[in-house]
Amino acid sequence: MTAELLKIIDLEVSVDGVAILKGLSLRIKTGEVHAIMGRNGSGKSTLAFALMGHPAYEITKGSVIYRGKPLDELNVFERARAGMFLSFQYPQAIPGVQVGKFLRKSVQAVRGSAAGSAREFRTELDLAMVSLGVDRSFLSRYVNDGFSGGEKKRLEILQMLLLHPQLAILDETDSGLDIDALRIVAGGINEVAKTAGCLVITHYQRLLDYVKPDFVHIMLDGRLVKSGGAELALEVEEHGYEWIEVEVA
Amino acid sequence: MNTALEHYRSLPQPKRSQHLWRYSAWRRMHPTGKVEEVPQAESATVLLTNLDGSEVDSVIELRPARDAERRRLGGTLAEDNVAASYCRAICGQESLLLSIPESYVGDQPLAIDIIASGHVSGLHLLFDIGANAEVELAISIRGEAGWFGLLREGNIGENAKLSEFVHNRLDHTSTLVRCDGIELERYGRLQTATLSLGAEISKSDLRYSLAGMGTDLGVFIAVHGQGKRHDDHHIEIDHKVGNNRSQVEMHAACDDNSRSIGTGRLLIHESAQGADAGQVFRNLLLSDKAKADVIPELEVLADDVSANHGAASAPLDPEQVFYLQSRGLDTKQSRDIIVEGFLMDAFRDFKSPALIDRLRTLLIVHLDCDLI
Repeated sequence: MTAELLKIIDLEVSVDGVAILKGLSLRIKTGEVHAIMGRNGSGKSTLAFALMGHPAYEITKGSVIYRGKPLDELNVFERARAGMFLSFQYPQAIPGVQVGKFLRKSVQAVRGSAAGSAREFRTELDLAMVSLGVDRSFLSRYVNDGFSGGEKKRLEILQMLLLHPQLAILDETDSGLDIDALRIVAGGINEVAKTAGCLVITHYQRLLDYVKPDFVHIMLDGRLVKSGGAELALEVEEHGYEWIEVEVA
Repeated sequence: MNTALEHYRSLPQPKRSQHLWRYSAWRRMHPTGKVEEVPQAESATVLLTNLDGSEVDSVIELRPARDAERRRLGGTLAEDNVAASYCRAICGQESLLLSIPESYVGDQPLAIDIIASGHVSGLHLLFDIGANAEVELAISIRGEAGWFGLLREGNIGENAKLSEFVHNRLDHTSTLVRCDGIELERYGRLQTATLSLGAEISKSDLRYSLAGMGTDLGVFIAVHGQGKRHDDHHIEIDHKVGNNRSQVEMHAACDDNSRSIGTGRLLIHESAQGADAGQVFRNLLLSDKAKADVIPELEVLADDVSANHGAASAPLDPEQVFYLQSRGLDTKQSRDIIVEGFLMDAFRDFKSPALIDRLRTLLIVHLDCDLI
């Protein structure tokens, strides 16, 4: 039996006193891919930030259990070290910090002694870069500084591959990608999904052509109002969200 | 009594109302606080090697300057410059000359190691970079001198290129007064970087004269303030003729009770049409008690120029911290990597891979040592 990785129970989250998530429940097991779809402002990114522990996102009710322990006991870096990974929709630039150094420090922090030697790291890094079609010159550039949208997303996926997460949360990783980049990025997600649970937040069906979800959830006004299989994403693509609003009204 | 001493004593003492001395009064920078005093100074030890420690090419000279050389190269700073005049006075007739012959192109960077010791120490260093020469230079200032005065003057010859950095790692109890006066001839290029980490009190008065057309100047400064460190940089650039470019990029990361000051004065003469000049000052405030003051000034007398300036001060960006923490770095690791990046980013346009690598290593060693 596959272990339950994440259990979200009746979660309510506020930002600056404004309720965004209004009672959300979800369970994810290792090896499962869950996709969350919804309109702008429905709370998808709030869920991602709240799970990762962003201080501006206040959990006002409910609980989140990650690998059998309450998540609120862990601060942000402890969540990362415990195997959680968030791929940002808008990754931060860190001027002056070279990608290569940042990746090495991050891998050391998250994987500890399992990070291996510098040589082992380089080998793993080379393989991951080749799989994502990333040029070596990437490593001497500053983190996300002057990167195109596609380059930022590739760097996010490169980090995900190197950090070996147990739970990967991907916040609109497909936005800003052309079709070739989308295929490559989806390949990275599928690789991680072999051993991790994945929560894929997206607006569009097109990413789900390449990353097959086990479950699709529709978020409206801070709640998951409908769940189904991969076919639900196709229905949304064809008919939009209105019919679901009518259904749940 | 030497003439330099007489000259210093004849100068009126600067008032704090003057732009240059507003934040670091000359009395405070003076070795004894009694501005009329000119104590006996010890000469600094100066070593010239290649950056890898090997001997330099025999055509490169670092030797005592002759009177004629001192007269030719040593007059780039105005006679009423009090700090420069004081440095001249304490150095007496002793000046060292770094001479790079015409058309010399170095295959590896040079390194000058300056070791300052004693109560008061001084060095007058002259540069003569011959026409069409290209050289890279790493200067380190270290030692436990109570007070150290460094006066650098010189000339970048026609179509010559000097890329250099000055690494201030004087003892944390020292005071440093540095004055630069460097003139660029036609098509001369100077990239000068400063990594300012040492000395409790530091005042740098850096002046560059773009005397020939087609010159290109980049001034890049990174300051790390800790404890009660007080670090004041004044950068003055004089566009005298047309079609010159200058850039100033100063980044100061201030922690604890430290204070950084950056004042810039950009003068574009009426005869300097086509000038392209910019100054940017950025401050990262790491504690509630740290301070950073910035005054960029432009004086533009020509009408066909591009001139801009900007200044920004901010605490750590919480979104950057969150991003790094989401990658497993703890609070301190996140802060340290942001500070390192912020300081290295001052050198973004400093185009010398060998010197950049050395600067990065020096900065990392400095920041890592703080952790011990």
